[in-house]
Amino acid sequence: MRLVLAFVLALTAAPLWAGRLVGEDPAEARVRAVATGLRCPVCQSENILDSHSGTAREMLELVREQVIEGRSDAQIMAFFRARYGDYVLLSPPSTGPGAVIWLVPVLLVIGGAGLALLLVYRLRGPGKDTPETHAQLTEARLEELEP
Amino acid sequence: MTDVTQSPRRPARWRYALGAAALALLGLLAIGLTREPGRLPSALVGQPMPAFEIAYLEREGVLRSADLAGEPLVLNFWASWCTSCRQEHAQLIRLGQFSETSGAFRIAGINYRDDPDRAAAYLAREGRFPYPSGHDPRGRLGIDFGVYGMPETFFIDAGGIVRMRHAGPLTAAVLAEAMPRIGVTP
Repeated sequence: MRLVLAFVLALTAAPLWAGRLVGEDPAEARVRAVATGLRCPVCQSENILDSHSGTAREMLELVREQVIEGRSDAQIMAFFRARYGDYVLLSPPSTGPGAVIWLVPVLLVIGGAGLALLLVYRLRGPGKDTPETHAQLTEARLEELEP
Repeated sequence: MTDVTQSPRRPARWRYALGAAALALLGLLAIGLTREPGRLPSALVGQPMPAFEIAYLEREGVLRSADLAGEPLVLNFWASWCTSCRQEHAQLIRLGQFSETSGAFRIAGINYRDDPDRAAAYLAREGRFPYPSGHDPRGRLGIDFGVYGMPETFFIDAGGIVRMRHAGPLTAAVLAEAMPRIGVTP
C-alpha cells in the first residue's frame, strides 16, 4: 500500500521538477509572470502569454528583452501603460479612478453583512424572544385580527 | 413565529433602498451595453509623439521623426492585409495632395506588420500615396504608438504633441474634427 502511495505521489509531483529538467532560464519565469498581467490589445480579455496574435508575440518579446536588460516588473508594466494606458493591465490599478473597481465589492460585502445582521437582529433581537413579548405581540395581533 | 405576527406592520424602507440599488446597477449595465468595447482611448493624446527612425518602404533611406518635427503631422498606420484601409485610401491620397499644395502640414505612412512585396502590390493596385511610408515589419513602432488595430491615424501638432488618434478609416468628418486640432484648416 505504501509503495503504491509513494508511486502515486511521485507521479503527481513530477511537474515540480519539470522546469529544472528542461533547464529553464529563471528569467523566463519572470517573463511569464509579467506577461500574464498584460492584456493583449488586439484580443478580447486575453493576456499576451496566451495569445497567439502577432502583436502579443512582439509584446512578449519586448517583455523578455526588458527582463534580460534587468528592468523591474514595475518598469516593464509602466512601459506598456505609457503606450496603451490602464487598459493593458489585466488587473486595474488600485489608485485613481481604478480604485472604484476594487472598493465596490468590499463596500457591497460590508453593506450585505450589515443588512443581514440587521435582519437577523429584527427577526430574533434581544427581548423579542421572551414569552412576555411573544404573548403581547400575539394579543396585539389578535386584537387587530378580531376587532 | 414572531416573524409571522410582526411582518405585515414592519416598515420596509430597506426594500426601497435595495430596489433603488438594483435599479442603479441595471442603469450602469445598460450604459455599458451602449459602449463599444473595441474603442479604446489612446494613452498618447496630450503626450509627445514617440521618436522613431525606420527604413522607408519603397525607397532607400530612413524615415526620422526628427525630420518631421516643427510642423503639424498626420501619421497613418496601414497594411495591405487590412481591408478597411482600402476605404480610407482615396481620402489619404487627397490629404497627401492637400499637404503638398498647401504646405500647411506633413504627412507620412507607416506600413505595419506587412510584407514589402505585398505592400508594393497593394499600392500599385489602390494607387500610390503622394508621400513616403516607413516600414514597421514587426510592429515595434506600432507598440510605441499603442496601436491595436488597422488603420489608425495620429494627428500631431507643430510642437510634437499628439492631439488626436483615430482608429478606423478616415472620413471627411474625422478630418474636419482632427485637422483644426493640429492647427490646420481643412
